[in-house]
Amino acid sequence: MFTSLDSSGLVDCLSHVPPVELLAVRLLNERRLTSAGGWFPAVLPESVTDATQELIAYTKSCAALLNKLIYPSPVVLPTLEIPEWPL
Amino acid sequence: MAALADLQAAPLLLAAMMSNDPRLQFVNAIAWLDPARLTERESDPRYIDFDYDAEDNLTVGLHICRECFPAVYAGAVQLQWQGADERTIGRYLLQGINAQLVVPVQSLDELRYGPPVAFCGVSLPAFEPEDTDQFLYDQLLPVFALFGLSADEDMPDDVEQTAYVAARVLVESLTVRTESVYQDLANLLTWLFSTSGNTAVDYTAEAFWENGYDTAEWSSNDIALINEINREAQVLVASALNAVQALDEDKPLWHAFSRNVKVVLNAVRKTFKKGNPDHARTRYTSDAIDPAAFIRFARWPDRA
Repeated sequence: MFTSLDSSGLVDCLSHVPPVELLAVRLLNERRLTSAGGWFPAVLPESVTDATQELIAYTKSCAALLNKLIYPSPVVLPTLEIPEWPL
Repeated sequence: MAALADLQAAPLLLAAMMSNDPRLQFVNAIAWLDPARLTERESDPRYIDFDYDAEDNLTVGLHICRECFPAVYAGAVQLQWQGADERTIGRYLLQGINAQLVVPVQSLDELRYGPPVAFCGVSLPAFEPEDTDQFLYDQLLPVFALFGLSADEDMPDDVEQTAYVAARVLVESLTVRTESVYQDLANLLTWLFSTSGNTAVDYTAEAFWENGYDTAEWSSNDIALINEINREAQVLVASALNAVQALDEDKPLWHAFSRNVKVVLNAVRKTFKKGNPDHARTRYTSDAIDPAAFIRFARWPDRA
């Protein structure tokens, strides 16, 4: 049963998560060696579009998650009584 | 010599090292396909995440395509990598965006104002005497004149109100007719009196800006909505112009229309003068009058 997790445990846990398989990364790894000249590979426009869309969606979801962590929603504590501050 | 060989081998070495590190692979992929992400400010959900006024035209265009037209964005980024100049990329963005719009954007500069709306509303005071050579002046003023309206800016309120109610009555009487010419005539009246419910048809650009309405945003939903508004406006105005032509060519129709306007105007005017029987000291307002009560005054000849 899960009881607690400290920061080093969280880092350890996350470091074991395998990298996300993105089409852009696959294209880079597969095509770079076969493409003549240039740092980036020459790929069909359709593949470029698909890879770009997937990459944008992925980075947006990461940014959304980051914002959730930075600006957490307030937690309502209805059972917590603070008698010093009655209205 | 050895140093030169090392330098030449450096890209391959770097590529090999990058392919062994998932984070470097990822950053490399972003630099290749989504470089705008690298210059994007960290977004804070409490504030706007993109300031259209603070960025140059090309950045604005790339941002909009990244959000709404990813295929265009992907193509523009690849053009950048191929060394295309700003003008070429700007043209590519404009063509790509316009392919998705009913009303095209004329320049990248216009992108700041949201998806374009082709305002085609009619404003009588905007008709200037120097417009006499314009089609609209010649064709629409006689129709307005039947309602007692002219381009004079100082038209009394009650004249305008009576004309507005009479137009509503006539539209109601026309919507029950199945002949296409009467659908066109109903569209002509809703266009002239700005009662279609379509923003592009009911407002001139000046009136829209003066009212301080918010413009649509570059989002999939807003683009779909603006496209629908523009598409509907084109159909409505084309239909209204058909009615203008029919009134010009079909004299019995013009006479019936003139007669109906006159009779309905008189009936509405009398009601306005009589006042509101429920509230003896108040006058009717145009919204308080039910057009259905006046429909019987309008009589339309049968048409094919």
